[in-house]
Amino acid sequence: MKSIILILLCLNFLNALTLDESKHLLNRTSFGYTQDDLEIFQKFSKKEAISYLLNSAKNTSVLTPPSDIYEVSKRPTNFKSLSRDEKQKIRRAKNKKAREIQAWWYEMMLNPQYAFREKMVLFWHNHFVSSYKVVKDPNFMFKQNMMYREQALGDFAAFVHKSSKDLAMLVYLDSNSNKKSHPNENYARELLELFTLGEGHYNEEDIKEAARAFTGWRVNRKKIYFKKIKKFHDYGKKSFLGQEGHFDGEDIIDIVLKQEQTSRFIVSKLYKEFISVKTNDKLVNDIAKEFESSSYDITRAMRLLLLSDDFWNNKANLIKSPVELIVSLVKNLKLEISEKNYKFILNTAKNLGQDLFNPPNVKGWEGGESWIDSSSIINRGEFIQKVIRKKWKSIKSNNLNINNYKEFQAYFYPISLNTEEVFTANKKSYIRLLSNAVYQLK
Amino acid sequence: MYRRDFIRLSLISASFLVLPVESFAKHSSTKTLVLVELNGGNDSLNTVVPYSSENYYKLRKNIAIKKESLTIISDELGIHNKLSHITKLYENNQVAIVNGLGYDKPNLSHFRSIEIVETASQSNEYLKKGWLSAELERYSLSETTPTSAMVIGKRKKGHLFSKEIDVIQLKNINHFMKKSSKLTRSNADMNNNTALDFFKKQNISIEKTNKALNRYTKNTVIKEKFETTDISKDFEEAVKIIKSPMNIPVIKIAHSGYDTHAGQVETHETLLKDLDDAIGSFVKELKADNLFDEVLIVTYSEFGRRVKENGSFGTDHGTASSQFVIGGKVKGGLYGKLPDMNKLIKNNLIYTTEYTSLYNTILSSWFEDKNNAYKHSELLTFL
Repeated sequence: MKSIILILLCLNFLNALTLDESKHLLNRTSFGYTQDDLEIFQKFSKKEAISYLLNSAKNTSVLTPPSDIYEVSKRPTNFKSLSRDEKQKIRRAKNKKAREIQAWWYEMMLNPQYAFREKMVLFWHNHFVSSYKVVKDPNFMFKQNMMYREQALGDFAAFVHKSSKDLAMLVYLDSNSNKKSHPNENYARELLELFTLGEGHYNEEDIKEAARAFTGWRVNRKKIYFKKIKKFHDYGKKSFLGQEGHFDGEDIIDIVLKQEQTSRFIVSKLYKEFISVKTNDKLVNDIAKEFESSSYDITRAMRLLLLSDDFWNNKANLIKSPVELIVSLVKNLKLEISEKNYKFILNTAKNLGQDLFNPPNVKGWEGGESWIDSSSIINRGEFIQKVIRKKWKSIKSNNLNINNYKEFQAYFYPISLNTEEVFTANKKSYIRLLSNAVYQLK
Repeated sequence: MYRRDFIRLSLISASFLVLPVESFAKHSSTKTLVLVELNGGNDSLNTVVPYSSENYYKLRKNIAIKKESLTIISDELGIHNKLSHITKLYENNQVAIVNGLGYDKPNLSHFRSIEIVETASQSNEYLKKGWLSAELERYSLSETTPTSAMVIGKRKKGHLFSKEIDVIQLKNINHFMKKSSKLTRSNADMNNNTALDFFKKQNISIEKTNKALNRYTKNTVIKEKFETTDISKDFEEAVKIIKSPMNIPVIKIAHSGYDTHAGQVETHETLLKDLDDAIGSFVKELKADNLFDEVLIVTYSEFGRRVKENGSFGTDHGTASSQFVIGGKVKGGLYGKLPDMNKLIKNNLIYTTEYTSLYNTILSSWFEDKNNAYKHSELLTFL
């Protein structure tokens, strides 16, 4: 009996993730790792590790969100008659709240319990894009973010439906002013081009007809819920992607979800985010079929992607986004984050081109190489230096137990290099070695 | 072979000779396009003012510029009096004003519209490359051209270029040299790792630029006294590079703050004055060194502003706009066509001149590439 257990343990040991594999999985799915995380994951097989992540993401709890988000979003009825200073004060309070939500989100990314789920929320934030700069309502952005969290690994079909009625989305893509007499195509266009089918799988007529179907979709006057306004809705017959009927917005989404292209488009985007910018069409197609036939179960698609050989064979060929660079550095160095530090983190991320809740446009952050230019390279380097200088005391006392270059790169770099470097456990060495571009890869 | 290639070759061969740095302290004879993005959407109707339009005064009861405070340049148009240097240059026939610039189906979002203008795309089309990318991708780099484009100032490079072009961004040359010399170069070698190769390529470009700046701009003396505003500082950095033996074909500068939704008259006056001072000093410095012929300044904006003022003594996002083209080689005057001030759509102008016309003119007549992607757009004759 004992020997069987021993054999099983050994078998499991044979299958267990290597150090490089653990780093790879956590860099790609969880904004990096701490030494504790690596220890846990090296006991798992690939399958176990992926199940562990997918299960952890089912956790619906969140850290306590900033208070009074709804209150600060309310516009006083006498807003128009307020002085400029008073209006400014209201705007400032909203912006402050928006920053608090950002910090709250970072806090969850930093928490290993939530990290993978938050990575998925960020993915969807960059897919069903809305921006605080346009929406101007922290409450709407918060609600959207919470909904994305709920849906992050759930049913994609339901997700599309929910996002079409999301308050921030209704404002961001002008559904709110889309009416029978003056159809606004903004939402309809992005639904097809960016959210489901991708370019080239519909024509301009389809957009026009879809826009008609979404007429009258509104945020109610008290800004609390979604509402359809009958008098603004176009009840006429529409012809969309080869079908005819008196379609409403829901019908349009259902038709889009019946297209095979939708699952291909989404899986291909996931592939680019988690595996490589160069997609493998065969694998994407295979997983897309599974995705569609599992009635768009995002967990299913993610499991297949993370289990694929492609995932494990593509190490260190992606560039960390600003948020990933920041969070992974904090995690790797095991740093405690104070309120003041969050301000620094928010400013750094903005400066490096990834201001959460404010993607540059409806396409979101382009990602990959677009993160890097001469000034962001310098700024990324400066960020790393600053953190090490300012936090050197805690880095030292955190006792990462790194004694030579070999151990240094085994922990910090996404893969091992065949290089020799001088290492002493001091600021200078940390700055020099973490400034190596390899650290910015994942 | 391009004429420019000859010049480049001769510069490269010159650099093989061991010469003291001082002997480089003369300018190279190549040209620089200086693009100035008026970020936020300049209210060009209050910049180049259609003073003869009744509708202009009717729709802008509070913020219209009176005829008395304009320099009249035609039966229809007058230039804002804060633009004194530009007006003087206009009177010297060195400023072209291109009226009615825009594109079909205007998008009124800042982000989207600047993307459309800079990539010269259709309103509903997303392009990955900017209008300058094809031209700049052709450039071979050299010691004096370590990069084909520079962005000076706080604002990012935007959509003008493409990822094939290693654009250098900097706010201040000395600061850039200081920071970039501290940059750690990755000695790691990973087979077929495009991400790492990309970093390395960028690092090399920074290093080369750092080297060139160290070598060629350290002895550049600026005689003109530039103002201390951001925009003047940016132009001062630009002129240092233009005066040096370096040859950077495109320099982009942005002047921000033009999103004048409220209390615009004063804000706009300050903006125009700051811009005018910056361009004034820049041009004087160039003229003193006989370099004005080799520089072309072109302004652009994501959009103009609405003809009708809003309730906060400001203007909302609009459509077509007038822009300036300034340079020693420019044939001054009015180009494009002023939009009909009585024919508005939702209080917005209908554009008359495609941005691609401006691009075709610059590419054909400045970069001497008649076969450019916009060759079918109308050629303006200011060059």
